[in-house]
Amino acid sequence: MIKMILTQIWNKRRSNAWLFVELLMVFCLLWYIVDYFFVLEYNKNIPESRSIDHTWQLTLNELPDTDPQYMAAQSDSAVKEANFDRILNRIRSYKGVMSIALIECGSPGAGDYWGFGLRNSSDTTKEFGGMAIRFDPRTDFFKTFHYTYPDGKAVEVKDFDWSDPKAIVIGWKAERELFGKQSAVGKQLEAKAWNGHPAEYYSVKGVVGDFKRFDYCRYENGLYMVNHVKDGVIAVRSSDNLSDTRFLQDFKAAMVKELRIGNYYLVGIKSYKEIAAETNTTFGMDNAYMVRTAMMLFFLVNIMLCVMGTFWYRIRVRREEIGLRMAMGSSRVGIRNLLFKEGVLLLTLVVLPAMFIEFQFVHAGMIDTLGKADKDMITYLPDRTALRFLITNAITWLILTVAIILAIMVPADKAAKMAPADAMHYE
Amino acid sequence: MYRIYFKQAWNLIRQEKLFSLIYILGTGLSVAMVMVLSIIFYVRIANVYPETNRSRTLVVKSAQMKAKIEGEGSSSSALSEKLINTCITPVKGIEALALILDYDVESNLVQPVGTNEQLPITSKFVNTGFWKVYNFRFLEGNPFTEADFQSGIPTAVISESLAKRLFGSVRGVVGKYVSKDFRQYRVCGVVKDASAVTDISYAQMWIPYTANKMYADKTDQNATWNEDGTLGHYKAFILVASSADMAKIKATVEANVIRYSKTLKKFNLTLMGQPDYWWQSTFRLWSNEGPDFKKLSIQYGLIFLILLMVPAVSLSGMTDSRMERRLAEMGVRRAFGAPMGRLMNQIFAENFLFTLLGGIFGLLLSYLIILLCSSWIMSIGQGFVGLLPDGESTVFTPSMLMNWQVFFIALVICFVLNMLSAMIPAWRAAHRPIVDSINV
Repeated sequence: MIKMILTQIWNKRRSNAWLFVELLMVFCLLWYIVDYFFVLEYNKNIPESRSIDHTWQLTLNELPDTDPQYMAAQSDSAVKEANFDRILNRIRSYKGVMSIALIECGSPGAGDYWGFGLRNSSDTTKEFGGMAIRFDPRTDFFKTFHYTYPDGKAVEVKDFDWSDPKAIVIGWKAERELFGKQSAVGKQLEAKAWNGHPAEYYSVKGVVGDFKRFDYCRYENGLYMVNHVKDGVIAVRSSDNLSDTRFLQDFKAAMVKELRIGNYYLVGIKSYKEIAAETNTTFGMDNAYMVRTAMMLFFLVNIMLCVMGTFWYRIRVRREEIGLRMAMGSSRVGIRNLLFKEGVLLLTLVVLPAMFIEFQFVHAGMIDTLGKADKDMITYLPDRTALRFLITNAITWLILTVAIILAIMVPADKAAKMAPADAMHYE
Repeated sequence: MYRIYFKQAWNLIRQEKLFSLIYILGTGLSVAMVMVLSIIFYVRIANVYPETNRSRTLVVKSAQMKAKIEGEGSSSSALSEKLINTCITPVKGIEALALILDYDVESNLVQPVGTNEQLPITSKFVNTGFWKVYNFRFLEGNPFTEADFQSGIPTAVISESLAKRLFGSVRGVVGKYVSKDFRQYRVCGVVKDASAVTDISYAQMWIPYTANKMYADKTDQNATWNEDGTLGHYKAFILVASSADMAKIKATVEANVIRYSKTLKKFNLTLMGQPDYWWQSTFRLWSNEGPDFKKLSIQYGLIFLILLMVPAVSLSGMTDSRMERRLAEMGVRRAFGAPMGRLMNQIFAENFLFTLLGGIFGLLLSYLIILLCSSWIMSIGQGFVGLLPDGESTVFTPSMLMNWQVFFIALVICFVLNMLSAMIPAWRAAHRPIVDSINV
């Protein structure tokens, strides 16, 4: 059967040449996009040891001295601090609030990044950079964002001894990079001396699970430190039993007045999910996603139109053959399947030359891996180039097969419904 | 002659409806994709309200200070007033100079009277020259005066839509106060809304930058990395009196910067190829490096080529199939003495009708795509994407989409696509031996 279809493809090489070139172009271009989405979706599915579900960021501000309600006496630093503490307590005691965190830097989902370089004090060849997250230990950053240990148990701020001002908690990936299979707890990390600043030494108090800076990235090296924060970002976790809409509505209604203390006022409240989504937009990720999706659709529609148009003409030219087949006992389903097989076989013939062209892309280093760190300790599937190459090509073939079958359906249906007498009439 | 060709093509369309539909859809899709990109570039580059002087505007967005000693680093950011006043303001031939503060220290929230609501808006801190470089239409009042600007008086020009949101009308608004970040600004003028696609000048509220609390705080002007207070927070938009002087003024500013740089002890100052012509400035996304136009040309050239070639091959295949069916007709025409050139012309002309119909469909489709994706489509090819606050949206006006330049681009695309999709099939059909053709 296949041999017969191949002979027919060869005999119709003039019109098939166009289809072949189109399929080859579209296969390569589509593969490029499929590869991007494959890595993107793979990264999105890497599990995290924290969660931003039911978490909110509050923004506070101070009245300017030009405002009629401004109180000069409330601007004294001690008074301001006391006012800020009152605000924290009011938020903490609001019904439905499970935990709060006062963050100096490193809010989840936000675009800011405070990079921090450290090395193993006892083996200075092992160094790495990570994202510094600094919060006030009177609040619980870990509980607010539902952090877990690598074994899955919940983390709380009180699990660690923060009495040492140079205490640090690190992520599991950072531990692997610096200490291999050994435990990092109790070990010392060194921030190198720079530009006249002496070296600083941090004592590791614990190791928590890893997080991703953005959902399309791989694990980030997390470095958790504490500080007495005077007016940072306030993060809130609401109860899992409360709907987000309800919490937001009630909280805003009640707290606009409650948090109007001294010169402070509540500017707004936003979910961390919304912040993460906005960061994706501002960093151009949504844009990249939409443009690639549009291009993918464009290629698919083009190939479908090309296949539909070519097969429509082909069926008109091959009426005699179809009539003969029917007269010889071929069923309507058989006729339809013959055309489907012809299309899929033509696509399959394209795969090898397409893979050769794609290999040139890979060879030229044009296939970047999304969110890859300079040195990843963990081997992710997209790093196994050969396997990834095969998987993405298989996905591309599958997508195009579906598109081709859909495109052939209309002309194939027309051919299958042809009355044998009509068809034979041409013969 | 062409009338007959078109008549024949029209009959072909009527005879082969499904095929014609597929062909027109394929053409339309390609034209739509290319037109979306073309319209994006057109709106970014052409003279569009209120940025109607783009063709006479030179742009300086940033400067870079590089340490003279290797390895001591570099800094880059927008420009200081001092640098602008030394290198740009004195240049002859400048009609107006707009300065826009490129640093957001305020939260951009407006407090409508009588509510607890905080209304997020887009605001810009600008100088008086801004109102000369950008042609906003004042519905009421005037721009803030030079005296207001010099004294840092909290005055503001607001947009028509903000006036309606805050006061319910655009009339009688001048003299009223708007509270932004709990600071009162007296409204001095109301302007017709601009679209967010003209993002350089777009805002809902324009305030003298001297009234910004940032203006008094010049701590970074004395920082060690910023010798002589060279770097700052202002972008400069230079309106040149005569477009013939653009190159001369660009060269003069560059020479002034070289002279300024020589006065610095530790750093070399560069504008990295600026002042830019407006179109060049739309590709300048980062403060520390200029656009690589060679790379950009290759990138966009490749994108346009893909958008045209993928459908062109598909359309060629279809045209070739159609010609296969008409071989006998071609054979007879040639047997009666029709020259090959005339046959090819006929095929091109017939095909052009298909392409033209596809082009019209594609142009309409591109409008639809732009309107449906208006919230993000202008950010294609940009680095960081600015977000508009709730209540503001990107609007494309009919004049941006329907003008002779856009129609002309669409027509050129149709010609190119027709050429690409009909050239090989036409050549093959016309050059087939007569005996072969008649023998079909």
